[in-house]
Amino acid sequence: MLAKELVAASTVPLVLSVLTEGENYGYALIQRVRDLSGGRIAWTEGMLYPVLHWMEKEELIESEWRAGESGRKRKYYRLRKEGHRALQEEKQQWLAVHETLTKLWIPTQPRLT
Amino acid sequence: MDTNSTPFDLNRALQTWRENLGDSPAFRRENLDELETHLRDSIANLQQRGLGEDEAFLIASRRVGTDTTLRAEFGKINAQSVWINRILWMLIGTQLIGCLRNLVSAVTSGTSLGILQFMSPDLGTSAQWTMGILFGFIHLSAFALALAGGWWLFTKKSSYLCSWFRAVSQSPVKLIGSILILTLLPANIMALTNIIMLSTFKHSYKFTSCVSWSNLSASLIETIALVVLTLLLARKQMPARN
Repeated sequence: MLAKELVAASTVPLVLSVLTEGENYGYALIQRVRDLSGGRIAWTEGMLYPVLHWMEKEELIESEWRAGESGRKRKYYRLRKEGHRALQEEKQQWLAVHETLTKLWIPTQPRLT
Repeated sequence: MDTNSTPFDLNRALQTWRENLGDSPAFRRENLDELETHLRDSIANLQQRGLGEDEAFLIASRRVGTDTTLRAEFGKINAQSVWINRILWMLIGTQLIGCLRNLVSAVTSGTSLGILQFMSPDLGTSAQWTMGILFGFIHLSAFALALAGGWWLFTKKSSYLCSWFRAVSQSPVKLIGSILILTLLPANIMALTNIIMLSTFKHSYKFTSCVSWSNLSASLIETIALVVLTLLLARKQMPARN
């Protein structure tokens, strides 16, 4: 399980990334992230919605109420142009952290001794 | 604790869950719709894995989050509506207090008038004192009664009160009618009794002055009571918020 702070920080990039796969609704978004993370990223499910609404207000995503295949009406979210741009920025930042940590943890250059 | 004897009704459970959250201004109707759809999806998923309807509901609602956490998070998003709600209650409070005071004054004036009809206009000093205390007592009792009635209405019958507010706010005729009744009626009764009192007893200045004095001191006690009530409520509510 991830630390609370890390979960909070990674929610927006995770949502943006999942939505690059196509539009989706809240419950499926949560399931997708849980599956991909092997259950390690488990949000308090209700907490995702205020984040989604905030992202919508910031014009990163847009939403629409529509009936899905099951006939149940759901609110679908999809990426906007601003969202794509935000994701690129997030990506650079997360990759910078990731690369730095990886270099420290797995030395690639053989030691000369 | 009769969940074992009565069969579990999912729709009713969801309705109760929704109403419980809906009491808070942190949620707009759309938010509740979305959370309910989520809960239904989650329950369906859990049921596919072999869980009973009631078990699935329990787990799904737990995963969505507790009332307190949801309220706090949604409150941040819908801060405006939370504040509008607070202002609404402040306004209702000021209207009610104003209305209540007018009503109390009206009742007191009316009762005083009734008693004065049976008294001779020439009273000794001690009798005037007794009258003053009597009027003050009537005034304070009316105030305490109105306050207790208001308290009972808000704590025990708040759902009835809410539906009444909703019904009134949706019909312009009812709205204007209520405004007129709430503002004019107590003020009118008060003005009327004052006029009658002044015209009937204008020859006896002492009577009216004794009534005014008792009214004044009773109002003072009322103000103190309201301030104390406010402070007590603040002490009870404020630390819980942080």
